[in-house]
Amino acid sequence: MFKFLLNPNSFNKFSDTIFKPLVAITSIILVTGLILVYRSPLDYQQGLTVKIMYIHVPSAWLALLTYAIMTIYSIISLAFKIPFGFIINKAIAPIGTVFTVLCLLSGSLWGKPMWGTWWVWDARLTSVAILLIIYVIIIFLNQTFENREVREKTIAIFILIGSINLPIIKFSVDWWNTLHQPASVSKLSSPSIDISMLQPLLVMTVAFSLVGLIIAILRIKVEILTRKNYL
Amino acid sequence: MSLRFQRLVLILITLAMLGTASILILFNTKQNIVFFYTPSELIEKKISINNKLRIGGYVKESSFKKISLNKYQFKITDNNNDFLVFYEGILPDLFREGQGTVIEGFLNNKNNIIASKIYAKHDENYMPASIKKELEKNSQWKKKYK
Amino acid sequence: MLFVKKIFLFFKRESKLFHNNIVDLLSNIIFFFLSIFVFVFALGTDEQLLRSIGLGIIWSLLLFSSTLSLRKFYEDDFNNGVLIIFHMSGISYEFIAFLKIISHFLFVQMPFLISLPIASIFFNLPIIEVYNLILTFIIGSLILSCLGSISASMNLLNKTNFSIGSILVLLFSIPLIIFSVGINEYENNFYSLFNLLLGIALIFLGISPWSSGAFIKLALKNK
Repeated sequence: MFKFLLNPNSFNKFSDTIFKPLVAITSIILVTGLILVYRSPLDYQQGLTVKIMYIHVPSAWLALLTYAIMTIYSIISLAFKIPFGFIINKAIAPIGTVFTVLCLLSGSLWGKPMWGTWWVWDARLTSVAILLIIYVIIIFLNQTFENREVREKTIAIFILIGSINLPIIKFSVDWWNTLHQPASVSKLSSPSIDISMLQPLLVMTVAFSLVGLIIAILRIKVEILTRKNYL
Repeated sequence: MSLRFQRLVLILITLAMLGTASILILFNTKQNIVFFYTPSELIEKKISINNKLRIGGYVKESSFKKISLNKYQFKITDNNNDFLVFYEGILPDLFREGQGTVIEGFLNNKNNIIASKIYAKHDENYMPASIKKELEKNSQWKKKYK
Repeated sequence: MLFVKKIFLFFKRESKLFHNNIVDLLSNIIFFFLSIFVFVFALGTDEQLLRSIGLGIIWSLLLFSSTLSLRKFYEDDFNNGVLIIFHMSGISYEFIAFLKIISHFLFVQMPFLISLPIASIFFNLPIIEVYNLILTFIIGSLILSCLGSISASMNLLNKTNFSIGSILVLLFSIPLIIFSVGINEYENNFYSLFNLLLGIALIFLGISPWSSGAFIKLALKNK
């Protein structure tokens, strides 16, 4: 059933069958999300600037999610010697980088009018910047070693070590006094964000992750093809 | 010592090290890196005058005064203690009475702060403007910080 | 008993190498001092300013100067076959890495200890900060040695991009810098920060022999 998550051939087959419907669904959801964002109400404090959140929050979540996926695949492929995880690590690292950059850029655009600064060195912002550096190093490491096996294992171990940063990012706003606001949606009690704003946010999150998924599928397929040529 | 025995010893050493390390790290419940102090913490810590510091809290209701163009004066509070803040410069959009804020500056005397930079802190609440009006009409809107 | 003798011989060889390469190590320290001078000339000689940022500058320059000599960590022993000889005499690669870290700590990092009080005179640091600096450096340099071991053993396998090793050292030394410089800013938290630093050092000391050993094994296989 879930063989396509671990086996390149079944992944190819599976992705071929779902690719066209996926693109169609994604474009529908993306358009709906944009319309919902356009029609969403203004915030009582921030006014129009709140709409930056609909880009900022999904890209932040997806930056973390991408890294979490890479961590899981690193564990799987190191422990069970399944090379497909290394393919995925190489393929989706740039996607995570783009999401992190988007998150930092949109956050800084929001921060200038709201906080009064483009950048502060508080725990949340700094740890996300470190996440970006980690992503860039992963991309660099992909070009570094001549021996492919060594390269893949090193990257996987590096990803595992770097995953310490994930809980730091997530909980930095709770552990330390930060300028960045604490989580609104993933609170244990009810989310402190109004339903009329939560809806477009969630739709945009789904849209972003589907766009990321499409790019990921394309990149993974390219990676599988190049590897077949080498083998 | 055979290689296998060496490896065993090294594994034991590693485990002991990691165990000690996790004990050392996990039992450090104190807050180590803070972006700012609250007014009460500041009084408790007795930070000396003319030291650079960051202080976070809420702008006290009806304490905000405009002295002249770009010169402001207000009180920062955490409901227990408050400091008088002087600031010259441009205020961020979100800055208003009752709103969270972080101030960078130094203590002028015992409870005056000369701010060099003001950040507005946004809380985690997002709400459409119309709903807020409704809530205020029904007096459901809680104003905690006076 | 024989094993203890082997370890003793290992350190004897290391100390001999230290004596032969003493110019090399001294040049690290001179690099450290010269970069302090460059910093001071670039910033101007405002005493107040230098005092307030001195500790951060000293720490970051220590970091840079100790990454200078990382190329020598394993490369010489790897190229002239000493690593294999040690292994054949019955020491596992992990244990060799462990011993190497200790010897790097003793023979490369510890000479910096002498330079620290002198460097802090240049910045007019208060005596309590000098004391903290020395204390944190003893632990921090152990972390640096561990990181250096990992990155140097990684570089054995890597013939194209050497700077990635230094980048990794800098990346992983971020917590080290945060805690060791921060120890002065929050005096009340001295012990908790010190414990955190100690914890990080122990974690790296635990992990790095294994990863370096793995890298050395792979490098010897692909030699």
